Amino acid sequence: MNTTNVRSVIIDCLGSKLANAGLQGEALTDDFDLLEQGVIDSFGFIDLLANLEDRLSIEIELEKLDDSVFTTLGGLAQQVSLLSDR
Amino acid sequence: MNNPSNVDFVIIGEGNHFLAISRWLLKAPNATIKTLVSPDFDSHDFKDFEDCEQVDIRSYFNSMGTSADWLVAVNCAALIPEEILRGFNGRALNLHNGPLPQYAGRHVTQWAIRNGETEFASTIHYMLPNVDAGNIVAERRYPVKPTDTGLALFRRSFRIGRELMIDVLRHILTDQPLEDRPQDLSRRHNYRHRDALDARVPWTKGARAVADFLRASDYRPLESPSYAAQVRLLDGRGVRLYRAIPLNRAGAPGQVLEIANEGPIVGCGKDAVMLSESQMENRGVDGARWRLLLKDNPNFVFDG
Repeated sequence: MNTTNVRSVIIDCLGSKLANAGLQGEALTDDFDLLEQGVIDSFGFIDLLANLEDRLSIEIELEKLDDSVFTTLGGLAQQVSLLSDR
Repeated sequence: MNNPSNVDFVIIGEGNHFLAISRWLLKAPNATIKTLVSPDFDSHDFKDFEDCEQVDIRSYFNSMGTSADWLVAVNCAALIPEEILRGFNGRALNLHNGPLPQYAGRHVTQWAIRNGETEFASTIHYMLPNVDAGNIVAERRYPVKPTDTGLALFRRSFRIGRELMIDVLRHILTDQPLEDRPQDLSRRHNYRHRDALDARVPWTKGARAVADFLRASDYRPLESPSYAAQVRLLDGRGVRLYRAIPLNRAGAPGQVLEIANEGPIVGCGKDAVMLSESQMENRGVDGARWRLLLKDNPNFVFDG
């Protein structure tokens, strides 16, 4: 699955958390950090990963990914896209 | 097989695995979710459950909520009042992400790594007022890999626990008997949150224990839910430690023996570790940076 499609799935998973923060998913830039901006907390991030695993039928092994960009919308989409193509 | 009768549930908890188990119940032909109880009803997450009663956890506890054939708790951080458990006549199940009775309580996947376990388990047990103490209904064991971080094991435990809970629910819905194995409470260890907050590295316990202590607190890119393994420099700044490689080399506990390219080699008594992954002020600290940080005191002794 390409990065754009994964990005859409992430935005859908975040659902009303974005709306509650007054944000529109499609308007967010790739460097938008989901944790730093307070959209989700650590537990919410773990939950988001589990949700993506369910939706995309993949296993996200964090140790295989670049954690320096992992909490940004674009970084997460790109990393998960790479995993889904393996 | 006889046509099984309908079974109704109150399901309590939060998060993706709670929702996934609830969705599974929603689709099961002879199951009814009477009430969903959660601290947070995000309308997007709960859109599949419009026909189920949804009750905030505090309201449910205060009103001594509705009863049903079964109460199922998945990722429920709150202690369920005894009066509510009594309303289910013992038919109350909890998913715990550790083997019982040895790993009751909090942060048990981190403790599994710290204790050097090579195998761990997710457990479904009956709920009693005493936390994680009820009879065991099902247990699924799985290996702990030598490279597992705290976060990796935590996530795996919930994935496996979710599958296990669905198996148990399938048993209930097809009217099959459940295991009902008492715990040997003399072997019980109940890990409390405050037990897991000490971030001092156990240099005196040997290289393996130090390496395990570090990787158990590794939740990157997230923060550890309990301690964050670190050492303090003379100027008071902390260096966060994530990974250590055991070495067959003796040295006084906590003493820097040498600084290799990857990081310092630190004594742990009969053996030593190389601190191969560490961070300070959001930047990795390699051997060259460690040399700068310790330049006035190359044989620095870290507190333990």
